[in-house]
Amino acid sequence: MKRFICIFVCFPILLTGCWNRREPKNLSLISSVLYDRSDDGTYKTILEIINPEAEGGPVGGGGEKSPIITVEGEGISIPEAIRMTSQSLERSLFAGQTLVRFFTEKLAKHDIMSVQDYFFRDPLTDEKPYVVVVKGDNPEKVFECKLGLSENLGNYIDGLKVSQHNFITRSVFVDTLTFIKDYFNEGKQPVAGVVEITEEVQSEKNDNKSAGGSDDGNEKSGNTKGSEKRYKLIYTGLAAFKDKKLVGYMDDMEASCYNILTNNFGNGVINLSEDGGGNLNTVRIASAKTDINPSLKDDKLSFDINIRCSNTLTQVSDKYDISKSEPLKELETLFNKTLKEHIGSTIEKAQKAFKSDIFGFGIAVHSKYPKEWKDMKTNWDNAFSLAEVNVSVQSKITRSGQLKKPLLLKEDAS
Amino acid sequence: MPIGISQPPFLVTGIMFRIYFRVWHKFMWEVFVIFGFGKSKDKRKEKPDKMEKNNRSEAIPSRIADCESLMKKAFGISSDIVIQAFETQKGKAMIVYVDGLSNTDLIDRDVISPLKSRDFEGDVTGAIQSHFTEVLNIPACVGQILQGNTAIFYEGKKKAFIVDFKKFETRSVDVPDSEAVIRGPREGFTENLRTNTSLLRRKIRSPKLIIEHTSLGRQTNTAICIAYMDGIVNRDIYKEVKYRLTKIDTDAILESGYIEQYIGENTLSPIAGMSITQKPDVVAARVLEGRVAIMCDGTPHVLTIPELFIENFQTAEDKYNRVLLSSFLRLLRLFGLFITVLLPGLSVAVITYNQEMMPAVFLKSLISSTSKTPFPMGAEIFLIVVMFELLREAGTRLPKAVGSAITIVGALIIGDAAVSAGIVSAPTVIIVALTAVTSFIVPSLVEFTLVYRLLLLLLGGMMGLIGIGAGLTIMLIQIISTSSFGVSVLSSFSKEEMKDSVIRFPLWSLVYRPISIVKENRKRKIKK
Repeated sequence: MKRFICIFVCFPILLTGCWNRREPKNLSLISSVLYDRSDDGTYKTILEIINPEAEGGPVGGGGEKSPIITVEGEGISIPEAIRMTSQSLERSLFAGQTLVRFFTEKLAKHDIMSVQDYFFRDPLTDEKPYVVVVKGDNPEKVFECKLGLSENLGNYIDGLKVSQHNFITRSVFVDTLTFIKDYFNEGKQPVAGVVEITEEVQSEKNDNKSAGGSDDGNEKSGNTKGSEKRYKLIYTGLAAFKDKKLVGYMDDMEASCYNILTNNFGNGVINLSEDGGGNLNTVRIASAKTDINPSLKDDKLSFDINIRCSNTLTQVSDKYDISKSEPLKELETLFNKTLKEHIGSTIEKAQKAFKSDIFGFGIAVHSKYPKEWKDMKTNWDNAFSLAEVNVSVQSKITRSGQLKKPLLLKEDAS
Repeated sequence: MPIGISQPPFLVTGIMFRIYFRVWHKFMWEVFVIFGFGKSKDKRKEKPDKMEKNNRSEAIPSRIADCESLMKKAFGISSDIVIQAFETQKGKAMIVYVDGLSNTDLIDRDVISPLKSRDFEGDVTGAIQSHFTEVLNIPACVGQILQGNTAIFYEGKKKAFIVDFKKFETRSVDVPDSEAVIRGPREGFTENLRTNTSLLRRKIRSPKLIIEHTSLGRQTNTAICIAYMDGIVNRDIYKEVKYRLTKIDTDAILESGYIEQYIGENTLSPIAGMSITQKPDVVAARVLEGRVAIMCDGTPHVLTIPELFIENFQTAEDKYNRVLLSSFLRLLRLFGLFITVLLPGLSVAVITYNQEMMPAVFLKSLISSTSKTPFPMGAEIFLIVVMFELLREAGTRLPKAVGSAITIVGALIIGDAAVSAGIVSAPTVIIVALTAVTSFIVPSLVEFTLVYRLLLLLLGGMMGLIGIGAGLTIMLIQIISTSSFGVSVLSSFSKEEMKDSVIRFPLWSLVYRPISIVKENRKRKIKK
C-alpha cells in the first residue's frame, strides 16, 4: 500500500512540470520591439535582442561584438511576424524583460488597438513596456541611432524616463497597461511617447579624426565614418490618439503642459521674458498641482482649471532685484501669464486640432455630473472640443537658489 | 476590458493544484506515515540473551573457595579482573576489582593492610577503612565490580562488601568544539558521567535538582542519569521519559544517540524531537525551564526533552548578551535557515521558470555565463550541492591537518577550475557557496536542512515556484505535526513564549517559563 502511495505522490510531480521550463542559456532577451505595417496590410516586426556575449561575461568578452542584434520578421499579423523571426534566430524569444514597444507612424495612424489584444493574451508578452510612436519615414533606423551611454535601446528609453523626470519633463512615458486603461476610459484618450529620428549632421573631417582618435578600439565608429549616415534619437513631445488612431503630435512645451494638467509633472524650467528679447529669467517649476473643475450651466460645459505651482529661480536678469518683494511679485505675475498662455494653447490644440480629450477632463465631468455624463459620454470628444476653458495659475517663488540678488545687478552707490 | 488574463500556464496550474489537493487530501495521512509521522516500527523485541538467564540470582556462598570459583566463572579468563584471595589472622578473605578502574593504592592502604594486620580480630566491617555497601548475591556483585568498585569477601559472611575506589583516566573538562561561545562559560561536558553531574550540580545548587540514576544496555550496563527540577518539571513528560527508558531493550548503549533513537517518536522525520548540547550552562537553563535532561556515561552529549523548534535558533549566549544583539542574532539565524533551505531550490525555480523576475542585467550575465556550460541549471546546482556535501564529509573525517588541505583543494581548485573549465557557471557556485556557509548557522538542524534543501531543489527544478510552494507546504505540515513527548515543536509561538522565541525580550520581562512545557510553578518571578 505504502509503495502505491509513494508512486501516487510521485506521479503528479513527475508528469507535470516541464511545460514551462526555459533554460536561460536558450533564451534571447528582447530589449525592444518595433512594429510596422506596410500599405498592403502586412506587418513587420524588428526585435532588438541583447547580445549577452558582448560584455560582462565571465571569460573573454571584448569590444568586437555589438551589444545588440536585430532580427526581422514579416507576416499577415503581428504574432505571425514575431514568430517568423525564428527563421533567423536560433534561441527562443523571451519578452519578459522587454522595455519598449515602438510603433511606426503608419501603424499608429492605421489602428493601434488591433495588436493590443495579442500583447495581453500571449504569455510571451506582457503589459509592462512603454508605448512609443516613431515619427518619420524610416522608422527602422531607430535601431541604428546613437544611444548615449546605454547598450541597447530599451535601457536607453528606460534611462531617459528617469533623467527626464529629474531634469526636464517635456515628454510622456506611457506603459502598455496605462495606454490600454486610457483607451477604455470613456473620459480620457490615450497618449504615447514620441521618438524622432534625425540625421546627424556630418561633421568636418578633422573633427571626425579627432573623435576617432580619442575613441580608440571602437571599430564600428571607424568603419561607419563617411560611408554611412548616422542617426540621432530625440525623445520629446507626445503622440495624441483618438479612439484607435494617431491624430497628431504635441511638441515639447505642450507635452510639458500636458504633464502639468495630468499632475504628472516631474521637473522643468520655463523661460520668462517680458519683451521677448533680453532680460531672460528662468524659473524651475518645483511642483505643480492642477485641479479641474467642470461646470455645466444650461447645457454649456466649461472648465475652470486651477494650477498651483511652487517655483525656484534658476536665472534672474539684472532687471529684477528679487531681494525686494515687488520685483518678486512681478516675476510671479510674469510666470503666471506665461504658463497660462502655454496651457491655453495646449488645450486649444487638443480641442481644435485633435478633437480628443487626452487630458482626461471627462473623468472630472463623470465624477461631478454622473447623471449628465451618461448622455454626454457617447459624444464626449465633440463636447470637449466645444467646451470653454478658463485657466488660472497661482504660483509662488519659494526659493531663490544660492544667490539672493542677481549677479549683474548694479547696486546704487549710496 | 480585456485585462482578464487567462494564460494557458495558469490554467494548467489550476488543474495541477486541484489534482494535488485531491491526492494530498486523500492520502496525506498515509504519506505522513511514510514520512514518519505515524507510529514508528517496534523492532525492539528480541529474545533475552542466554547469559541473562544464567545470571539468575545466586546467593554468595560462605566459603571463600566457592566464592572464588563463582567469580572466576562469572568473569571467565578476562585478564583485567583481579581476583585475589588472601589469609588474615582469623580467616580467609578475597578482593575482586577491575584493574585500571580502581585505585590499588587505596585498596592496599584501606582494605588489605587492615585485614592483614596482626591486630585484626575478625571484625571485617570495622577493619575496612572506607565507606562500604553490602550486596548479597553474585550478579549484583559482578555489576558493582564492573562499575569500577571493589568487592571484598570474607569467610563465613555470605555477603560482599563493596568499596568505591574508582580511579580511571578521563579527559579533562574542555571547551566543546561545536558550541563555541564568545561570552559565557567555556567548560563542556566530558565522557565521565560523574564529572558531568557535578558540572550540572555546580550550576544549580538546589536540592530540587534531582539527578536520578539508572543503567541501560544488557552488555554495556551504561550508567544513565536523568536530571530535572522537582516542582518545575512536567510530570507527564518525566513519566513518559522514564517509561520509554525502561522500554529500551538492547544490549548496548554506547552514546546518548542510542537513547535518542530508541525513545524518539519521529523515526524518519528530520526533526528529532530532542535537543543535544555539550554545555552544562545550556543544560542548566533547559532543566530550569522544566525540561528533562538525559546524561549518558561515556559521552559529552546530553539530551534535553522536549525540544521546541525555536531551540535550534537559541544559543547559550542569547541570554548573556544584551537584548538588541541577541534578538538580531536570532533573526539572523532564522534568515540563515531560510537561505540554506530555500536558496538552491528557489534560484533554480526563478532562473528556469520565471526569468522576468530577475533584473535584466543579471539575466544577461547569467545567460552569457550559462551558455558555456553543458548542463541545465538544476543539474548544475545539484552537482555542486552534492560536491559540497562530499567535501564536508571528507573534511570532518580526515585528520585535522589533511582535512583543511582537502577543503582548500576542493573549494578553491575544484570550484574555480570547474567554472573556468566551463563545467558549471559562476552563479551556481555563488548560490551553493552561500547555501553552504549559511548551513553552519543553524548546526543542530543539519539533517532538516539537508533533506528539505534537496527536496525543494528537486521540486523547484521540476515545477518552478509551484514546486517550491508545494515543498514548503510539505515542510510546514511536517514541522507542525511533529511533536516531542506530547509537546508540539512549534508551540513556542504562543503569546507568553513569543517573548523568548524569535526575538528575545529583556530578562526581567520573561516572567513565565515556557508554558507549553511547564504545567506547575509557571512563574519565574515570585514577588509582584
